[in-house]
This record gives sequence, C-alpha cells and structure tokens, in this order.
Amino acid sequence: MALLTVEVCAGTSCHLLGNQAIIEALESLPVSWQKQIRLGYRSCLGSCGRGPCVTIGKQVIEQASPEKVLTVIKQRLTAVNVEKEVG
Amino acid sequence: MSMTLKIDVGVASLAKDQEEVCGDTVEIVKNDRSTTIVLSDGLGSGIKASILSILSTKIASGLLRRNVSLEQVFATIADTLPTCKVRNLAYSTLSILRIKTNGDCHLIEYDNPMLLRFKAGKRAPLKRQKREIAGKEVLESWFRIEPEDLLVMVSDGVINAGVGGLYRLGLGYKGLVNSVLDWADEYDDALPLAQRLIEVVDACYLGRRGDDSTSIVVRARIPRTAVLLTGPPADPKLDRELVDNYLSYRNVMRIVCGGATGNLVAREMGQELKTSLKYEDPSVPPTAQIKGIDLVTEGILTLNKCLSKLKSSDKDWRSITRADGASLLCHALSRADRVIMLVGTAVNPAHEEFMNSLQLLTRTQVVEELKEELTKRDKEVIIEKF
Ligand code: FES
Repeated sequence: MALLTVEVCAGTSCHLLGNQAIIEALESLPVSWQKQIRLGYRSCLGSCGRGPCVTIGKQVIEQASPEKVLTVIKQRLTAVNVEKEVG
Repeated sequence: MSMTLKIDVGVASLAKDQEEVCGDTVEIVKNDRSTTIVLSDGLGSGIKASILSILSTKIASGLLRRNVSLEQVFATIADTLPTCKVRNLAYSTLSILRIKTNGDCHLIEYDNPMLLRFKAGKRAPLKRQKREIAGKEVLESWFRIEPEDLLVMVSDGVINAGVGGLYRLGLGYKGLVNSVLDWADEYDDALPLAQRLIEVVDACYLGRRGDDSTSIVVRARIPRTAVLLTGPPADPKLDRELVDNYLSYRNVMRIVCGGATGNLVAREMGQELKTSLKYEDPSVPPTAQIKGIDLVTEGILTLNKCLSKLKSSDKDWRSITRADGASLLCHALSRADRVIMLVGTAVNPAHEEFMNSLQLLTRTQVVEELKEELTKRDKEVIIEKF
C-alpha cells in the first residue's frame, strides 16, 4: 500500500505560527498510523500569510492545527482502508 | 597576474609563573598593501620587561602605519631604547616581518630566535644576511611566502622551555620544529596552531614557567570564499539572473538562507530541495539540501540567530559542534576569509507582522550587522542587493 505523505512546512512563518505543535502531534501518532505515513518537512509552501501549512497527499492545509491535521489524516487513512476492503 | 593572498596570523602567549603580565609584545599592523608583525621581548620579565617591549612595538607600529621602511623602523627603535648598564644588553629584542599582499616578505631579526619557515610539511630554512643597522647587528632576509607556506616566530621562552626540567637544554629549535610538524596538519588556521604550540611549551615547563613565551603562526592561503544567497529578488523576473550570478562563483562555499530562496535556487538549477527531518534546535528551523549547494538553511530566524551567536562568542568558532542551521552558518562564515552576500530585497508580507513583535532584524538589517561582525574578525565582506 502506498504511504500517505504528510509534510509540515518548516519555513520562517510556519515555524513562528506554531508548526511545532503539529510536528509533536504527528510524532506521537499511534504506531499503526505512523506505519502508513511518510512524514517530512517542506521549506515554505508560498502561503506564509495563512500558516502553519501542512500538505497531506496533494492537499494543502492552511491555518493548520493538530486537530485539523489529524482529522484529515484519519479521513484519508480510513478512506484507503475502506477502499481496500471493498476492492 | 598578481594574486592577493590571505595572510592568517595567530598569536598565543604565556606569562612567566607569578608574573601577571607577559614581557613579550606582539603588534600586527595591517593595511591594504601589507601585514607587518612586530615581536619584541623585554629583558627579564614582569612589568619592566613588559613596558620596554610594549615601547618597542608601539614605536614600530606607529612608524609602520606611516609606511616607513623596516630598516628605518628598526633604527629608530634601536636608537630610542636604552642599553642595560649592568648586563650590557639591549633592553629589548625585536623581530619585524612585513608581508606584502603578493607574498613578498622582508624580515629583520635582532636577538630573537630565528623565524622558521615550512613548506609542504618540511622545514625550508631562509637565507639570511648579517647587517648592521644603527650600530646593532641584525639578520635580514627577503623571501616570498606562497600559498600553504607556514611561518613560525617565537620568543626565547619557547626555545628554552623546560630547561633543566623536562629537557636539559630546553625544547630547542629541534623540539619546536617537531612540534610544528606534529600539529600543522591538524589545524589549517593559524590561531589554533599557535595555541597548541604554547600548550606544548607550558607542558615542557611542567607548570613552572621560567620565562614569558610567545608563538606567532603565519599561514598564507588563497582566500577561502563563501557566497551567501538570501531572499528572492524584488523583481521575480530577475530570479534566473540572480541564480546565474550566484552559481558563476567557482571554488567557493555556496550557502543559501531562506525557504523561498531555496525553492527558487532548486527550481532554477533543476534540482530537488530536500528538507532535513530533524529540528536540531527547536528555535531554528531545519536545514535542507540541494545538490551543488554546500549549506541550505531557513532565512530570517537562522540569520538572526547566527548573528547573536557570533556576537556572543569569542573569535574562535571551531569549538562549535551543534548541527542546527544557525551554528552551521556561523561555522561556514567563520571559516571564510571573504564573504559575498547576494541579498534579494523582496519583502514577504507575512513576515512584517511578527518582525517587530519578535524584535527580529529584517533581512537587509541582519546582513549589514553580519557584515560589521565579520569585518571585525578580519574578513572581507561584500554585499550586493537585488
Ligand atoms: S513558511 Fe510555510 S508557507 Fe511560507
């Protein structure tokens, strides 16, 4: 199964707007989730005014919070799992 | 074509036991044509020796600043300083070495240990001539210093280190030469080698130092250049030109500071930008990699942090072992002899808000302050804005 790519912007603005909380949340995800995710950083996604920014797959989440990010990840992972079951 | 060499001079001294001042004095006079080093050792040790040697070097450096020839400098000092009636010795010894930026050297030595020259890991003795200046017999030498050559000047406390203790006759020239050869490869900068030699001397004296000791190390090299690119240009149409300009510097350390700048460089180079997976220091955003670039960091925060690290540190940055972007940047800038900063002046509106509240310097401010700080450390700094 392809991993879900989650990238946290670590540019100046996103750093100052609190990307650390999101990173911490991602690093403390349950292992079963972590196994399905490829975590990385990006340097500036060009939406500095609306940070912190996180990309999940191809989707860019602006003004991200740990909750927002976790919700989207959960949706994406369950969607993938459902697909698998159906398929 | 004559090339301008970087003349890196490092000085380390040790005062005789129980003396608060060192009777050896070193003065380095630099201008855009030459670097001149004056080493003088006052007779005896303590305050009197110190004052006499300071007097000699101050006279010398005052004259040197006015571009007076070495023999005139020497003659003036020799005439000025008294001779000790009791011991019938001159009050102070003197070595003066002038190195022009093209590498031509002129050396006059009076009563000091002889300067040692090393080439390619071997001792390369100088030809010297005896000559009389102002009634004093001096040794004079003309030679040329080449890239990677190493010169070592010491006061006699170094040569005599350990007399009657560790060594019957002291460290001697031979011991000094061996120590230089032992350590020269370890340090490619002058200062740490000078410091190491003085540690050797201290060890020879077994903690009971019999004389003031000074070592001066001179290393010549092609200047190490770092080119730092930070900030996108005010006009995005200039992206290509800026990156071309940046990449046109050869044999330099290439540094990029800034997320957007990194993306722009990677794009123009057709390379991928990979951001590191580690926050080495929670207050400094992680570094990144672009093939062909030596160091890629975040911009404003890293530059500000680097500036404050430089400001709060002494001159020696070699001891830093941390791997966050600001420390790595400090390292890179400290190693360089010349720093060229290509500064894009595009303003990121999102930055404006927090710049003030966090008391951060803007990109243009921070590079100006970095320039000031680096210039103090004897580096040539050029800023170009786009
Ligand atoms: S710093 Fe995150 S989008 Fe610019």
